[in-house]
Order: sequence, then C-alpha cells, then structure tokens
Amino acid sequence: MKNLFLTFILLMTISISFGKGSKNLVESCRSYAISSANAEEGHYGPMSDKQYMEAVSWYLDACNEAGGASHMLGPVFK
Amino acid sequence: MYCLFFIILNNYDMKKFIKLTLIFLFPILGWSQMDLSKKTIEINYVKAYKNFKDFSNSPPSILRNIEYKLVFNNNEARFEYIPNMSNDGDDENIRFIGRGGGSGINYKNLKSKEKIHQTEIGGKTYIITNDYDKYDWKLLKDTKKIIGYDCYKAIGIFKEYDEIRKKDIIIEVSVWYAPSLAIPFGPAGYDGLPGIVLESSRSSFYLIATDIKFYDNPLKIKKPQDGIMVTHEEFNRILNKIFLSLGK
Repeated sequence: MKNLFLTFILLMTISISFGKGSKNLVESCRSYAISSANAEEGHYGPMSDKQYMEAVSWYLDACNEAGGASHMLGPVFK
Repeated sequence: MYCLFFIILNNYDMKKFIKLTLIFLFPILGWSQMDLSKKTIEINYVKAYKNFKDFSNSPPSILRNIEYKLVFNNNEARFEYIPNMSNDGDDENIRFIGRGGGSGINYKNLKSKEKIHQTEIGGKTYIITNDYDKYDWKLLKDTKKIIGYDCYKAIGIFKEYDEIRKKDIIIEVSVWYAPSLAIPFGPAGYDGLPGIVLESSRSSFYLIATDIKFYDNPLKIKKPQDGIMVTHEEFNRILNKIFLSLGK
C-alpha cells in the first residue's frame, strides 16, 4: 500500500513538472516569437497587423519545432 | 516632304499653314494615346527587395519565384499572386509573398465603387471591404521609365489602429504611375491615381511591372465571392483574437 502511494506521488510529481515544462516552453516560444517579429519589423520596416501576426506565427512554429526558445539562434536576416 | 511644305508656304498665309499642321498632327497625337476603353490589359509584376534604410541608388534585388498579375478593363481590376510550382518546397521567399502588398486577391470596380481584398487567416477565408479611396496620394514631379512608359512618382499615406500592438501604425507607399495608361488601377490595392501603377514600394518590398499585354477581346475578370464579409476594423479584431490564441 505504501509503495503504491509513493508510486502515485512520484507519477504526480513527474506529470506536474512535465506540464510546467511544456507551459514554460509555450511561454518561452511565444516571447521569442514576439521579440523576433519585432526585430524583423525593425529590419524590414513597418508591417501591417496581419503581416506582424504571420511573422509571430512563423517564429512560433519554428521555435516549437526546435523544442524551445533555448534551441533558437534568433531571427536571421539577409 | 520639304517641297510640299514650301508649296504650302508659298500659296497660303501663315494662319492656314498652322491650321494644316494641326490637321496633320491631330491623328498622330491621338494614336499615341491608346484607346483603352475596349481592351483588357494584363500586367505582370515581380517582387523585389531593397532595405528601407538603404538610400543608395542601387536597384532592388528581385526575389525569385514571386510573381503577380493585374488584369483589368476600363471598369474592373483583379490583382493576385501567381502560384509557382517551384515554391512548393522550403523556399524562404514564400514568407515574403504578402510583404509590401500581394497577399490574397485584390478586386476593384469603378462603377459600383467597390474595393475588396480576399485573404485567408486561421484556416478561414475573409472578404475585407476597404475604403474606396484608401490612400491620400501626393503627386510628385519625379519621373522614370518603366517597361517603356513614362511614369510619375506619388506617395500615399495610410494610418490605421493596430489591434495587436495597441497603437496607430502609419503605412507609407511610394508608387510610379503611367499617365499614358490612364486607368486608375494598380497592384495590391495601390490605386486611385491618374494612371496605372507600374511600381510600388512599401517598407523594404517592391512590386515592379515586367511586361504588359493588350487583348482586344475582353477577358473575364472574376470578382472574389467566397469568404466571410468583414470590414477592415472587424478583420483587425479577428486578427487580434487569433494572435492572443497563438501557442495556447
């Protein structure tokens, strides 16, 4: 019974930490995407709101695919 | 020819000579201004890039595989991106299709005073009704030739409230229009000038005309029909909702 309880606590801890991790990943990617879109606007000039949103969405997808903002080098401009 | 003039001068007074000259010149001047009222015209444009902070005389660089077409008659115009098979891969230029104008389909009708933009976002298609005279154009005296036509420069400024960034943004567009093609259409909704717009630049992105075709037979110009009808302000609010849900 004790072992079962300990296993349950362990599983709960793991699931909460994974949940927090994924939330952190989402938040880190979102702020990365927004700052990258801002940097892009500074580089290419003013964007309409649709273009801005599409830029944020593009960086967000790239960040999620890479597994988080820590894996991103930053926006690359030509 | 000279003999003819001498005979005319010898036999008639100066007033009659001027009259005759005008009679001879009138048809020539008339032909140089082509009658566009019964033609359909197609203009192809490419997208080009030159950083907006670069004030040198260097020309903008053409972005490969991004082309558009403007088809119009004396009443309707439709502007859209031409899908390119070679853009199916990882071509990073795809991201720039809409930059500086060029996403979706722009349609304008002079008789019904309609100006609409069909575009897709969040998996849905929208038809945005735009102000008929969106830009307050300032006509300038600068000139240059584009695909053989003498063009004049104009600058248009458009201010709108950005729902996402919660601030007013000012969009400035520079265009070159050809008064000899005296129909008020242009690419990506840059229109309402006394001539077709053959080049536009907004931020770092350009739309540049590369060729023009004249058809004697009228081509059908299709008005975009599919999509949820919204005003520009409603569309901006939809964009904001999508933006807030991004990544959540």
